[in-house]
Order: sequence, then structure tokens, then C-alpha cells
Amino acid sequence: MAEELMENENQYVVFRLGRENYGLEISTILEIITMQTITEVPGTEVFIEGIINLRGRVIPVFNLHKKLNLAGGETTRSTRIVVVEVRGNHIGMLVDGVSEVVKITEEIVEQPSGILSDLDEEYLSGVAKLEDKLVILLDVTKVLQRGNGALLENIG
Amino acid sequence: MGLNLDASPEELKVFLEEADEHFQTLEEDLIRLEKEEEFNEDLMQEIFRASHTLKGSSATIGHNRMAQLTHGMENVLDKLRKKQLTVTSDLVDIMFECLDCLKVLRDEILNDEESDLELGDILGKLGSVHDAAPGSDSPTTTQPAPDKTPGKQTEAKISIDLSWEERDTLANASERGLKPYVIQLLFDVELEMLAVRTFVTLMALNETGEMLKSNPSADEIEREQVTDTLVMLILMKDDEAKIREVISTLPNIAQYEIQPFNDNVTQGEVPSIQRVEKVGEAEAECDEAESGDRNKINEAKNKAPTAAKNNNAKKANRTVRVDVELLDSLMNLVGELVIDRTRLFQILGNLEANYEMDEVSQDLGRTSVHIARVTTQLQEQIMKARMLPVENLFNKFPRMVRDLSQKAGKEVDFVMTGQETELDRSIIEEIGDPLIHLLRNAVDHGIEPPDQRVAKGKPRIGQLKLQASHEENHIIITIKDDGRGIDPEVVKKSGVKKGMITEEQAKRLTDKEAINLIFMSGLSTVAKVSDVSGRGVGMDVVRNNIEKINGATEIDSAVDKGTEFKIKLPLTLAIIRALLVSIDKSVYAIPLSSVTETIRMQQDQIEYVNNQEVIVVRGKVLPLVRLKKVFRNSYDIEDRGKLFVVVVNLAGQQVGLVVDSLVGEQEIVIKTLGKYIGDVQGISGATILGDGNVALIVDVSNLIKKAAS
Repeated sequence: MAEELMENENQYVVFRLGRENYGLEISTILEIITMQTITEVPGTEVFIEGIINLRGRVIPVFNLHKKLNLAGGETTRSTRIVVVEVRGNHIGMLVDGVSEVVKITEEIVEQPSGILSDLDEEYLSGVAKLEDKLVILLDVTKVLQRGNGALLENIG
Repeated sequence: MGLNLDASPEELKVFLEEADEHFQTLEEDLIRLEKEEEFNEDLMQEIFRASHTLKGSSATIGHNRMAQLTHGMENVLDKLRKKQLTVTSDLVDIMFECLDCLKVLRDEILNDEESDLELGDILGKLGSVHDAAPGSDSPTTTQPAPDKTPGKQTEAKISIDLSWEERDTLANASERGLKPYVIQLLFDVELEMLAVRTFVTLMALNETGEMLKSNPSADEIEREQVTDTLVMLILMKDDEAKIREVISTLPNIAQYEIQPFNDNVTQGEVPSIQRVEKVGEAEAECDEAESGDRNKINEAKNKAPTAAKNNNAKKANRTVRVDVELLDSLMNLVGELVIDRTRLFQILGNLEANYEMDEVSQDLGRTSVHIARVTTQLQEQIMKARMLPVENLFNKFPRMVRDLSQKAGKEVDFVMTGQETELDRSIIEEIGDPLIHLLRNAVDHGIEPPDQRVAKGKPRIGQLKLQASHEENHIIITIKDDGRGIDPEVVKKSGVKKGMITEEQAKRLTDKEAINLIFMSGLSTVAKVSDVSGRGVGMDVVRNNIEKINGATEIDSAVDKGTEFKIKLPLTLAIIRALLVSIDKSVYAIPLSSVTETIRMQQDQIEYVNNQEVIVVRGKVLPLVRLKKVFRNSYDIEDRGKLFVVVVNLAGQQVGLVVDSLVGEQEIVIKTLGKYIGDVQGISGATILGDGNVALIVDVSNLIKKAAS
């Protein structure tokens, strides 16, 4: 993979959340699975959807819609769980559908400028302008922060 | 400052393991020795042997201070053995003090740093005890006799067999300007402590050059396979004169001979000598020094845990040491297999239900059955591999109780039973502290001073019993004393004073409930705080620690009769039996260890006390906790008439958990919710069900606490 990539070029997995396209760096993603039965855990933050069984391992699933205050989020046939690894923890994230893997060079990435109304800028690492669309690049560690700005205090 | 020990890390590891075993032997035996009225020769021998071996091996690794101390100990022990001294409690005290010092010295090795422990004091004590005994006029260099293990003398031709490597070294020696010499030494006949002497000699000569080979080898010397002769092949820069010089400084050498070595003079050159072989000692005759580690391990195994089993030593050593982490990961893997086993059967069931069974699917069925069986066996075996007898934990208690009771001026007869009972090692790790705490309490507060006991008409010596036993799928550990017991009135008063309960509440409490108050944080009934207990911290920690591992504590106490603590523990941490219940279509697991019974009842049987739902079961009022409300935050207004109540019991407190329906009873594999989700109120973990879905495990103690507040 590495030899195909130019310098300052990274591969991103592009997925849909509501009407927007989001990108996650491919190296943070472990796998993408279809929707599973999610067991709700009482007393946790709203954006924690619950826990699933990933081949014998219990992992939490995160609801990005709720975290990013996006509309929609109903489970459909294309709903996927993107499993990422953050500091040794496996965490699933619910997305509306995974569309493609793209190469994005640094030149086409712009810093977020506040035009994105319904998204907290702090979760972004930038916006990539592709030929046909804009892809919002997520900073997974920041998105998975818990509560009001405290760092992943339970991971560590 | 480093210790500069003369041993490789591996050797040190072996030494440390071995040392711990000997410490343990010494500790147990010294306590027995103190108790026993008759002189027990076997026991004495065992003690002597342990300290003797420690001395030898500490000298081997070059830990001089340890060797010095064990030497002192051995001198005194020898007097005891020869009945020139009698066992007194003071003497045992000194021995224990030595043992404590030895442990400090052992820790020096662990930390690779010399401690500030001063041996002068303890050595002085040992010296004075020793000198007070008759027959101490012998010069100090004369040491106690080595334990004369029944040995048979075998004629063996001494030959210097060299391995290829050694021959290589020898061949290269001249290039490095080294000359090989054969040194033969004859010790003073009947010299005592031959092994140590031999060893010291070997070490001393080793400094003059490069020791290539010795007979007996360092290992053999350690195993006391020594005679009055020592033959060495040494490579050195200097000439014979140097050797002579060194030898002249060594004591107890009767004769010696030095000759240049050349390869032709090998076989049979050296006169035959007598070699002592211990009867029954495993004949691990690996001549190459480099396999020494293995020998030592074998040896340690053969001697452990109780010596005097030399006759069994022939049995080959069939155990390996395994890292705990490896066992943990094996357990995890088996856990996954257990889940898949259940899953496999469900898939098979679906297959049978939906498709016609052909040969292939029947084959799948048979294989599934086989896999299921193997998985069950695997699970059992791995659980067994993780089991340790509680003995490992209990062993340190007699000494602790002895010291505590002496300090507190009490007389305690401490009896342990069921040490062979096996428990998962992670549980053993967890219950150590709680048990220590309970035992301390028993000695400190439970058992009265002798005079008080006599005044009460009780036997002067207090009884303290620690028992472990197997009961169905649980291990029960009981700690029972016949001391003053816990007075419910005193506990109530203390509780009111500390503001934990109101006077009103105090009046309503039954005696048993009152006694259970001692598990609340901050409560202590003892007026005087001692350095071991009575500070009001502890009992709550004890209970929390036990509950953390799905165990339960019960207490039973009567004034002036005594107190009994009962600890119920699961066999293993990873897999437990649970009652599966359904709440709002989700399945929850309740650990069976805390379930007393399940009741089906009518909605109109619910009564209200202080706006709290309760039911009356056999005359006892049980507060109800609606799990649906706790977990789903939804209150079932819909009156279905019937409801299921799971009665759970922890530490004497009973609560009824209201669930929608009962699903069944099953073995579940406990998984954590993960660090990301962290602690959740009322939930202790998760498990994976046969259908692949995740069920949450109910944290009973947390719910009971919540219900109580």
C-alpha cells in the first residue's frame, strides 16, 4: 500500500452520516461490519449506543449522529458499524453507509472554517475537496472524547 | 549500591524461588516446633536442612550476609538438634527474627541494592544462645555436622571428561597465554560442613584463574555430593606458585597436589576417589556446568514443599512453570470457545428446522457434538490448571497469628483445615488481604486476654479456626473464634454516634442486622485504636473486596460465644453460573451466588412502607427493586397482575428484584464493559449469550446498596 501512496497522501474511508460525507484515516479502522444487535447499557451517555459481540469480544458502539448532533440515524440496510482502534481499545461507530476509499493529499485539505453549521469543529482535522464532493475528515480520538471535553479519561 | 552477586539472572531466579520455599518450610516448622511438646527429631532435621541449604545456596550466589546469618542460625539449630539446647518461645522468636532478616536479605537481591539491615544484633543473639549451650567450646571454625543423609559409597573412577566446548577452550587457552593445571585437594578427614568448605575452596581457587572443570562440580557440591577430595582443572596465567599461595591461605586442607594438565593425561589419570551419592536423589548427572540451572530446578522441585521426601525424588519431575498471563489468555480463549459451542448448536438447530438433513449436515452435527465435548473438557482442565490449593495463602497465617497474639498478650490456638481446597489463583490473590484483616480482628478484638477468659469461665487459650471447604460450586472459607463476640447494642450505639443510622432505625434493627452494620464504612466498636485494627476502615473494604469477585460474606456472632465469618467464593472468576432474566425484552444475568430464591407473585401482594414497595415473604419484609425502572427508566404502569421476584441476598441484606420473566440458568463467561464505557451503576459486566447477543450482568451488591439508601 505504502508504495502506491505519494508523500503527504493518505487513504481515507468515506462514509455517510445524514447528508454529509465523512472520512476516517484508513489506518485507524480495524474493520467494517454490518448492523448487529446492540445491547443498550443503562446509565451511559446518550451517544453510547450500547455494546456488541465482536467475535467473542464485547465492544462499545458509539452513535455519531448523536455525538455530532446530526439529523437522521435510523437503521437501514446500508447502516454499518465502523470498528476503530483508539489507544488499544476497540470501539464501534454507527454510520449510515460506507461509500469508498479515497486517496487524499494534503493540498486539497482545508482547515475547517466555521461554515459547517451542525458540526463541532473540534472533532475535525479538516475538509477535503474532492472533484465531486466535500469530505469532512474526522479526528477519531477527539470524536471519541467523553462528556464535556474531558479526554478519553477512561482509556489510557 | 549493587550487590555484585556472583550469579546470572537465571541462577538468581532459581535461588529466589528456592529460598522462598525454604523460608516457608522454616516458618511452618518453627511454629510446629514451638507447639510440640515432645522433641521431634524429623521436624528438627527438616528445619536444619532448610537452613543448611539456604546457607549453601546463598554462599553459591555470593550473598555473603545471607550466608553469614544462615550460618549463625545453623549453629544454633545444630545445638537444638543435638538436644544441647531446648526449644523456648524466646528461641523461636530469635529464629523468626532471623527469618525476617533473611527476607530482607532476599529482597536485596530483588532490588539489587544492599539494605541498611544490620546483622550485628541478630548475630549477637544467635551467638549468645549458641554459647550458652553446653559443648560450645569447640572452635568456631568447626561447624555443625552436615546432616548425614543415609548415603551409599560408590566406587567411581574420577576422570576428567571434557565436553567439546571445554576442549575448545582448552585448546585456545595457550593462545590466550593461559596454562592448564590440575589441582587435587584432600580435606582434613571428618571435617564437618564439607560441602561449604569445598565450595569456599572452589571459589577461592576460581579467583586465581578460569575454572574449566571441577569434580565434584559446583552443582554437586550444592547437593552435598562431596567427598574429602576436590579435583579441579583450571586455566591460569600465573604458575603453580600462585595456586600454592592461595591454598596456603585456605583452612582445612590436608594435602594437595598441582600438576600441569595436558590432554593426554586425561582419562584415569587421577586416582579414584569415593563419591557419596544420596539414596534416592535423582541422578541428574549432567556433567556440564551449564546445565546447572536445570538441575537446580529439579532439585528445588524434589525438595519442595516438605523435605524428607528424598525417597520420592526418583519420580521424575513432571511439572513446568507457566506464566499467569498465559493461563489468563488460555482462559479467555476457552471462554470464546464456550460461547461458540452454544452458538454452533443453535446454528445446527436452525439447519435442522429449515433444511432437510443430508449426510453433510449430519456430519456437521456429529462434529459439533464432539467439539462440544472437547470444549467442556478443555474448560475443566484449564480451570484446573488455574487452581491452587489455598495452602499457598494460608501458610503465612500461623506465623502472623502467633506474632499478633504475642504482641497482644493473648493465647491463641490457631487451627487451619482444608488447606488442600483449590481455588482459582486470581481469587486467591484477591482474598489474601480480607482474610488477614479478619484474622487480625479475631486476635485483636475477638479473643480476650487469658485472665479475662478465665474469669468468664472459658478455657485460658482462645480458639481460632480457619477452614476452607468445597460446597457445590463454591468454596466456603470460615474464620471462627471463641472470643467475646460482637455486641449488637454496642454496634448500634456506635452507628448512631457516627450518624450512620438514626436512633429510630437502631431500635428497629434485628441483632443480625445490627451486627452487619460493622461492614459499613467508618464504623468501629473498639474504643482503643491499635496499630493493627480498630480504625473503622477495613470491614467495608473486606466486604467490597469479596463482592468484587462475586463472593459473599456472612457473619454470625454471639456475645461471649464468639464470631464466625463465612466467605462464599466462586471457583473461578471468569465463568460463573447465572440466572438469566428478561427485562423489557433484554436479557440480564444475575450471578447465582447471590440468588436465594425466585418467587412468582401477584401485583396486589405489594405493600408500601415509606413509599417504598415491599413484599412479605414468610413473615420477612423485602424491599423491592424494579429492574425495569433502574435499567430502563420506565415504570411499568400496565398492571399485569403477576410478577417475578428474584430474591437476592448479600451480607444478610435481602432485596427482591422485579423482572419481567425468568429465562433460565446458564454458565456465563464474564467480560468487562471495557475501559471506554467504564463503571456503570448496577452493572458489573457483560456476557455473550448462545445466540451471539450480549447480556449485561447485574451488580447485585450495588443494587442492594442503592435500595438501602
